[in-house]
Amino acid sequence: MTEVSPIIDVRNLSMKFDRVKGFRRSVIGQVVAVDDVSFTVNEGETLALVGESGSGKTTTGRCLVRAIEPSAGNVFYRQGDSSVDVLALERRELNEVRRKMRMVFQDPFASLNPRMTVEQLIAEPLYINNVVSDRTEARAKVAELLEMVQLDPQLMSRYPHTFSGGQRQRIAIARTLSLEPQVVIADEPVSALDVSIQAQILNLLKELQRERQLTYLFISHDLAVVRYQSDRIAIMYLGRIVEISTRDEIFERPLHPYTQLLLASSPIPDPRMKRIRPETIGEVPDPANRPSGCAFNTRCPYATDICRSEVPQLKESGTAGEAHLVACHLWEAVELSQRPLEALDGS
Amino acid sequence: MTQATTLAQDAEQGTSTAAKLEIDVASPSQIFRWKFMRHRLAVVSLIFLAAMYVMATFAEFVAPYNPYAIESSLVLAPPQPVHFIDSSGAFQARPFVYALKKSIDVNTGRITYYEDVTKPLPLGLFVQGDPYEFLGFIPWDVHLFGTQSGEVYSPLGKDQLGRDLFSRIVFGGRISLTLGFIGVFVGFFSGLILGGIAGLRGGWFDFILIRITEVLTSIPTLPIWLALAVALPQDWTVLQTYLAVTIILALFGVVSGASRTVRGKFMSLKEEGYVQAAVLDGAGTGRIIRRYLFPNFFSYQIADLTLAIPGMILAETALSFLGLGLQPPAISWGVLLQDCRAVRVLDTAPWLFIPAVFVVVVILAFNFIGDGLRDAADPYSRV
Repeated sequence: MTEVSPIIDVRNLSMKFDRVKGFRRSVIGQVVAVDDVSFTVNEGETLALVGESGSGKTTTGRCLVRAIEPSAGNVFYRQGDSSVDVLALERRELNEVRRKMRMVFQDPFASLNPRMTVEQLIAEPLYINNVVSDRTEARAKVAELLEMVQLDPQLMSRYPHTFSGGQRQRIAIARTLSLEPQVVIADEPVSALDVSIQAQILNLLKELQRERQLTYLFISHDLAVVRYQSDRIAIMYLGRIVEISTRDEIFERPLHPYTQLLLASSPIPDPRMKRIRPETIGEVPDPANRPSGCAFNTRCPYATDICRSEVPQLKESGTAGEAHLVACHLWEAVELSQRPLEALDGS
Repeated sequence: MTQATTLAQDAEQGTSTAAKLEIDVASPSQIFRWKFMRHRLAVVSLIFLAAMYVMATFAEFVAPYNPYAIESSLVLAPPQPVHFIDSSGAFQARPFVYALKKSIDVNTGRITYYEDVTKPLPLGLFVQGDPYEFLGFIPWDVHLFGTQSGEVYSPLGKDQLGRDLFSRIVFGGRISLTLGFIGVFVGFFSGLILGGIAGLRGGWFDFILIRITEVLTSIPTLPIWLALAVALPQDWTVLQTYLAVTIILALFGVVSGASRTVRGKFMSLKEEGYVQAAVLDGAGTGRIIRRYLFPNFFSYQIADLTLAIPGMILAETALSFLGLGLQPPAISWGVLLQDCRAVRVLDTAPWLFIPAVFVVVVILAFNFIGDGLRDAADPYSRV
C-alpha cells in the first residue's frame, strides 16, 4: 500500500464527565464517555464510527471540533504540510479549523433555526466568516449550493417547517458545505429519515465526496448504512475502539466478539441466509460503572480471568494484507470459532 | 381576519393551491398572526383594550368633567338614565336625560334624588364644557359628550363629594392601565438580563439568582407589599409614589418570574441543534442571542407577559383599596374603590362599585389576549 498521511490523527482522546452531587457539587464519580481513543482518518476516505447508543461515538465526533471540550488527548489536523493540534488552539484559530472541519447533525428538524429562511440559513456561515459581503453575492452562492444538493433554488425564501425531513437534511448539507470544508463529520445523518429517503441522502453524500474530494467521519449505528457508505470501520464499545479495519475485513472476518455480536444482530435482507448468533449475556453496563479489564467481559461468551483483570490494547492482528486492529486478548481463539453467516442451502 | 379564516378553511379542504402556497412561504411571525386572528375572543379583547387605552390617553376629552370638580349640590347623586321617549310618550331621535331634583327627609336628613320630567336635557356629541388642556398643552373646552345646554349630566353618578364618577374612572384608567404595562416592562427587562446571564453562563451567578428568586416567591406577597408601601415617604408626590409602587409590585411578581422563565428557556435553547451549529459556524455570543435565542423564545414570553399584567393591576387595586398604595388626590381604580369600604355606601350609593366592573372586564380582556397569544405561539397547533 502507498504511504497515505492521515488528515486527522486522533491520539489518546478521552472525555470524562464529572458526576456531582448535592449543594457543594462534590464530585462523586466520573462517566467515561470516551476512553483513550486513537485513530486516523485518511484524506478522501470515509471512516465509519460504529457502536450502540452510549458507546461514545457521537461524543468522539463532537470532541474533534470541540463542540464539547475533551478532557485529554490530541487531535492533529493536517493542513498542507503542517499539522495543528485542534485541542490546543485559541478561539480564532479554532474557528479557522472549524471552517475546514464541519458537522452534519442527526436531526434535521432540530439543526435548522425555525426562524430563518433557507436563504438565511445557508448564507449564515458565509456572512459570519466574511466569505460574502452583500446579499446579491450571498443569494447567488445559496442558489448554487441548493442546486448542488438537488433542491430548487426558488424555494430559498421558504422557512424550514415547509420541508420534509429529507429536504431539510439536504439544506443542512448545503449549509455544511457552504464553507468548502475538507472534512465532514456526519453524526447519524440519515437515522432520523425514512428508509426510502436514506438512500437518496447517502448517494448525495457519496456524490459530493467524489466531486469535492471530501473526507468523511461517518457516525452511525446502522450496519447496513455503514456497509454501503464507508471505506474503513471503527467499532466502539463503552467509549473504547475495540476493532478497526477496512469495511470488507470487518464484515467478512470480524475478530472481536462484540463485532461478531453486532453483525449477528443486524438483519440481512436475504431469506436464504441464516444467522449463527453468538451467545451473549446481559445488558450494556453503565458507563459510570465500567467493568474492570475488558469492558465487554460481562457479556462475552469467551471471557476468561485475563479479560476481567487486564484492559486489552488495540493491536495489529497481522492476519491479512490489510491493517486490522483488534482489542481482545483472545481474538485468535474467537476467530476460529465464529463465522457470522452460513448459507442454508449451501449455495 | 377574513383572509386568515379562508386560508384555514382551504387548508382543511385541501382545495386551493394558491392558499396552500401562501402558507408555504409564510414566515413564523405571519403564522403567529394568523393563528391569533382566529381566536375571536382575543381579537375582541384586543380591540376593547385598545379603546380603553385611547380613552385613558384622551381622558380630558372623553371625560365630561374635571375629575376633581366638586358639585356640592349633587353629593351621591345616582346615575342618570338615558331616555328616548319623553313624558308625553313621543319618541325623540336625540337621546336626553332628565335633570335631577332632590328632596330632603326632614326627620332623617336623608337626600333622595328623582328625575324632573319637566326638564329634559338633550344630549350631544362634542359639546362645550369645562376648559382643559388637550394633550396637556392645547387649550380646549370641547368634550366627547354632554348636555347641549351645559347642565349637569353624570352617566355613572356622583361620589361623596359630588365629583363625577365616570370622569374619575376615565382618569383613573391612566394609572391603573399603565401601571401594569410599565411594571411588566421594567420587570421583564430586568428579568431578561438576569435570567439571560444565568441561563447562558450558569455557574455561581445562576445558583445565587435561583436561590434569591426562590426566597422571593416563597414570601407571602401581601405582607411584603404592605411593609414596602408603608416605607414610602409620606411627602412624595403622586408620580413618585406611583413609580415606587410599580417597581415594588414588579420586583416581586414579574422579575422573579421572568428571570426564571428566561433562564430556563435560554438553558434549553442553547442545547438546541441549531444553536450548536451556529457556534460551530463561528457565530459570537451576541449574534447567537440576537438571531437564535431571542426570536425563538419571544413568542412564548409575550404570552407570559400579557398574563402577568392583570396580576399587577389587581395588586395595585388591592393595595390602593387598603389605603396603602396610591392615596388621594391620585386617582386610580383602586383609589376609587376606597369609597366602597363603608357599609353605608353599599346601601345608599351602589354605583360607587362601578370601578370594580372596569377592573374585572379589563383583567378578563388581558387574560383572553394572553390565551390567544399562547395558542398562537404553540408550535403544535394547526395553522
